Amino acid sequence: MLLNSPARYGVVAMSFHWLIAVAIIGMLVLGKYMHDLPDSDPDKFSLYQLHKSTGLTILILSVGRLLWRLVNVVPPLPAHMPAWQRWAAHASHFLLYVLMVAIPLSGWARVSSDPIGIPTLWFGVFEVPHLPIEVSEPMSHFMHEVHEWLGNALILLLLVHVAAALKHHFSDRDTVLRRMLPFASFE
Amino acid sequence: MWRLALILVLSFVASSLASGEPAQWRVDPAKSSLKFVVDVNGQTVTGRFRSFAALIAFDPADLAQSRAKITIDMTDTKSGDATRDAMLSKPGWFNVLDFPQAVFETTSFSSTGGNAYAARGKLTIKGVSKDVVLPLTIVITGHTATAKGATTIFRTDFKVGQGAQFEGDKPVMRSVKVLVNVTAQRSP
Repeated sequence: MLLNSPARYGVVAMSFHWLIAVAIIGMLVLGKYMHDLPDSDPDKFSLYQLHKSTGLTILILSVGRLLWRLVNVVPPLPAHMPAWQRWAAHASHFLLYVLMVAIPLSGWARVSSDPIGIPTLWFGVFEVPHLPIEVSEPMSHFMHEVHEWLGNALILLLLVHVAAALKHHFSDRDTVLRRMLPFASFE
Repeated sequence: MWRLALILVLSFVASSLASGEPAQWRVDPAKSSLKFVVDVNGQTVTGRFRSFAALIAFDPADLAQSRAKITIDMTDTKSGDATRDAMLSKPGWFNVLDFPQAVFETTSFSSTGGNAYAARGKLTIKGVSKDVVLPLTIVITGHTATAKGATTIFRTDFKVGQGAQFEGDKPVMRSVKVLVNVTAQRSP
């Protein structure tokens, strides 16, 4: 139940998946929204703190998720899939994991290299140290660009991910989507 | 004859006691505030120094001997935003680890007419001392005194806001208004 089985994902893997999924979608919306706020907006600081706190949480969850995946059975892909689809599924999941770690890290690096030096307060509970990185305007700008670019890449990859899941469910009529759904009937 | 001499001596002692030191005043923290107001990104930000100690000896009739020393606990500064408060404590701003206190110590009081006075003194923030004039309106009613005043200082004079981004008036204005509002009771 907690662990994965060859037929489906377990509670832990599903929790990681859906918790991170909801957080990522919220973060993409929040990131785009707060980025365009004028500096004079009184909520800007707290929205950035929320974004930074959630981002670091996603980073920790993603590392935990990867470790969990490494010590668990991964339900295999259905036998009917052609080779190119298998390759695409592995590549896109690999990239999703890369982005789940790289996007928070690039955001953290952007915050850490900003000469203005705004502290990161994890949900107001404690202050997160800056990464040991060069503090300069060009570095901060570069990391900002990387963070945004990776975020846009994630949006594209998520669309592919969701489209593929729906294709498996409605077109191929296999268990690929259902084995990640907590309340799906499963026999 | 001896009795007369004794009366003279006693009255001299009494009068010298009465005119010796100006009255001392104890600040009522609940009715007192020490604030700063500064423009940040076009918004007015008000910060409160929530904890400060004051030694005040003041007598309108004896300004020459009147003096005050205010010691401010810089670690207890709140500006209505957790991020900003955390930033304020950093080395480039108040650097509260190395400079937990700021001090204003008067060097002279002078009357500027009616209830108005000018308190001249030395303000020390982050180890930098500058002469500051604080105009005050001081009203004494019975054993209670109120002192209200404001002055403008430049944060960059005190190395508050270090780094190329903060040398100018954007995003944080260099001129900062300091508002003093103190209610004190005469010490018995």
